[in-house]
Amino acid sequence: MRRTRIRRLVLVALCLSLLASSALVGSSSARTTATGGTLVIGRTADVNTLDPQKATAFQAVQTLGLIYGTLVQLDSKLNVVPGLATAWKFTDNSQTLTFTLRSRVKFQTGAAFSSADVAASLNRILNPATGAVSRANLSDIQSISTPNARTVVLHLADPDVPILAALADLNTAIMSAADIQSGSFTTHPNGTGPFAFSSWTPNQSFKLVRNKTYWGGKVPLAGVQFRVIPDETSVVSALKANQIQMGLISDPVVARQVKGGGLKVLPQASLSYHTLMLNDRHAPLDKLYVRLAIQCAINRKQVLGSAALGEGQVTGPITSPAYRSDPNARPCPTPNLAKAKRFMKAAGYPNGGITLHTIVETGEYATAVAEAQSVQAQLAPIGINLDLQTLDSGTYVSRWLAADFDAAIALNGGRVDPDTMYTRYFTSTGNLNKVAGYSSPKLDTLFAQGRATSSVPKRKAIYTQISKTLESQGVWVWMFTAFDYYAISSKVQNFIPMANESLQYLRQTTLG
Amino acid sequence: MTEPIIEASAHHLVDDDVVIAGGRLPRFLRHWLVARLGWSIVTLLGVSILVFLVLRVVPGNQIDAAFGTEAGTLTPAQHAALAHYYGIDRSLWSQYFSWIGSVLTGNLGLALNTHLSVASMTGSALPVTVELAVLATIFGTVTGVALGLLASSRPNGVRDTVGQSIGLLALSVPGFVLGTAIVTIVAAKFNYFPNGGEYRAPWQNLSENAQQMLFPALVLGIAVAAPVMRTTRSAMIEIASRDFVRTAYGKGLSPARVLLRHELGNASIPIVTMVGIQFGYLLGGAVIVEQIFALPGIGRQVYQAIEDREYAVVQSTVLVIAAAFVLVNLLTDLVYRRIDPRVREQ
Repeated sequence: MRRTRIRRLVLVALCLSLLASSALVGSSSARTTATGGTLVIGRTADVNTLDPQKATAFQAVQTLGLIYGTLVQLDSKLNVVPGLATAWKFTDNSQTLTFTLRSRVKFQTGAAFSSADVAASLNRILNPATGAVSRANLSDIQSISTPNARTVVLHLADPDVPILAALADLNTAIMSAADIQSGSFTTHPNGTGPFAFSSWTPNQSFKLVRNKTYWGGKVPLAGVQFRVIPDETSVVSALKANQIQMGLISDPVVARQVKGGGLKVLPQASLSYHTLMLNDRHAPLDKLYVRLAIQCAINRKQVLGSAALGEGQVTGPITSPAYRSDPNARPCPTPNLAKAKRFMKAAGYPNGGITLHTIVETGEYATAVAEAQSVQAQLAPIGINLDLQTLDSGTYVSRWLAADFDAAIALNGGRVDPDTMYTRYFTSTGNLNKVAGYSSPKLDTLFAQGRATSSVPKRKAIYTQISKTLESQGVWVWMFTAFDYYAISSKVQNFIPMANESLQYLRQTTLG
Repeated sequence: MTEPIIEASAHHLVDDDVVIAGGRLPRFLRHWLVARLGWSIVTLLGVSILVFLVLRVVPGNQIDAAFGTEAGTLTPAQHAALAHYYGIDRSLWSQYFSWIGSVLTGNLGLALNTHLSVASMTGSALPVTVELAVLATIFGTVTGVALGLLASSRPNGVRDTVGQSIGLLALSVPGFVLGTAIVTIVAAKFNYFPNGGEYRAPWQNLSENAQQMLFPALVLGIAVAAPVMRTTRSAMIEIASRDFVRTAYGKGLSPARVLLRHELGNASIPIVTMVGIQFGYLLGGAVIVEQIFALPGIGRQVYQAIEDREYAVVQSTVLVIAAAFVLVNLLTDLVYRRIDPRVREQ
């Protein structure tokens, strides 16, 4: 009798619990679907600033790049093409750069764009109080003059050809002079790009609407909405459930889950490169032969295979398409353990016994730890022990900036121009030279020549020499470039992914 | 009549308070509630100092977090200007008192990168977490108590083994495994992932909200159910052997009445303790579950703020969470007083 009652009670309790669950479900038909012309994009992190000149995180750069315009911009092959400036000319031995501005351009709030906005924007970058990251790339600007509303002249202290590519970067975005004055851009961005700011719910969504006055013609999409879905697996789930029409994915393992259901993945080789940075000022890495031994012991293809499922390309130092390094032009294009051991012997370490404190970042990109473990295993046979220290992003950055490591597994950003990519690292006055751990008078001279040369073939020869020097000195171990994955539904058309991860071609994307 | 059982853990806090509040203190301060509130303020002050110091000990600062490795390209003048902007060029004392002073005047601070107030961020994140915690606690309590009753109805029998096995399994499977499995399987098989949509509050769209909360509440509820089940089982087994239970049966009371009023009534004290603790933890934000299911709750807010080294956001949010935890403890004590007459008498 008692048992029956208890059983009934338990049954009632369980039923109640299940009822509560089913009440939660409600009507499954209420599931939302994509709305008309608004493309919903899922990504794992949110925008962390609305200031385009201080944005460094990919999410902020991608989003604000749709709102703001730059003097020049990049096409799908990363060639510099007209943006807010229709023409430009270097004169005075590449020390004066004159821009002719596009006419009838308006900011999204309706104000007309003029040379005063360009001057105000560039001066804001040059003002140390702003803390703009692109100041280093524009530091040759001595003064800015605006002879009329359609002309801007940059007077440079030294010949600086790469400054043109630097002006295509979002960090040199042209803002309204009035906005700079009022500071309103910190809460309501206002640019000349194809999409206008609509609303932002932090950690949830960022909404943009079509800029009806965009100078580049009518934008097909009525709007773009970025949705924060912190887990990449969940991004794929949202794509399958048609809650989003595009997912931005970095993990090749997750990208492989995207199949069927009218979904496809657009892999795009990135400018960013995966490398083992060596602090050449720390013993025993100050010995060339130790560095060369490391170069010869590492099987780059194997690292790429084990960490990124082979999805990517083995690379040399320069990833800029027009100046790309030949990955075979290095001391050991294929791993050579015997040679590595000979180098160790020549360096005075015939039995190895070297330990390198190596920092590895977790959380920021998926393959870091796997890369580190692969490199660790490959260096063990020549007696080099990698002491792996896996760190959260903040700690890693702090140690990286302080050059507090022997070696660092790193994913460094590439640039369209090799000068902006490496001058900061490998010239003796470069502001990241402490981190790079290597400079030489030869490299200083070559980089200066590159900055002063405007002919592309001549520049190509110079940067090939730079690349060769970096490799023959075993400065770092450049390993591979990986893919970024754009998972899209079949409705998304005319979207072109870019190697610099810009989403600018959303301006021509349609939802079929 | 409800018979008491000896469960020291259920009321020792109140006893302590009485001892602490006794003696030389004025009469009004001897009231347990006043003493409790006093200790709550001390606790919150301790939390504020601890979280402030821990954040400063962690390597990196707001500039490194905001600019990443690009921070290395800043000139010393730029660096100094940014340090001034973020307020990290001041002494630790100055930073702490400036922050706590603002908090005491009702200003929780500002996220310096996004220019959003911590109050508004917390105002939108806290309800999400509270809703999730309430639903998970309801599900976990009902399920846990039911399974606990089932297991205790026949100690060491088949039901007990089954109940305990379920409890052990629920304790052993981590939330991130269960959550990821649910997300992947349900999306792959049924193309269903309600959390891919924008979060909807219950007052915006009840049906969508319910769908978005179902799986996360289930995952967290299972984690709550396991300890509740084990607590219920042990309390029920212990009480079933007490004299007053035998007396109740002897008086001819129905088994259901004995079970519900006498056995479960007395077992409710440890159960309430356990549920209170679990609910308190859930209020702190279930970071991983919120990450997997893209719920914009308080856990994600703190996690993101730690990543960004947004000191004011982390400090103020943690303080709000601590205050909520203290409040839940206080409410748990009030519930004790309601269900345990001895506590009322003390």
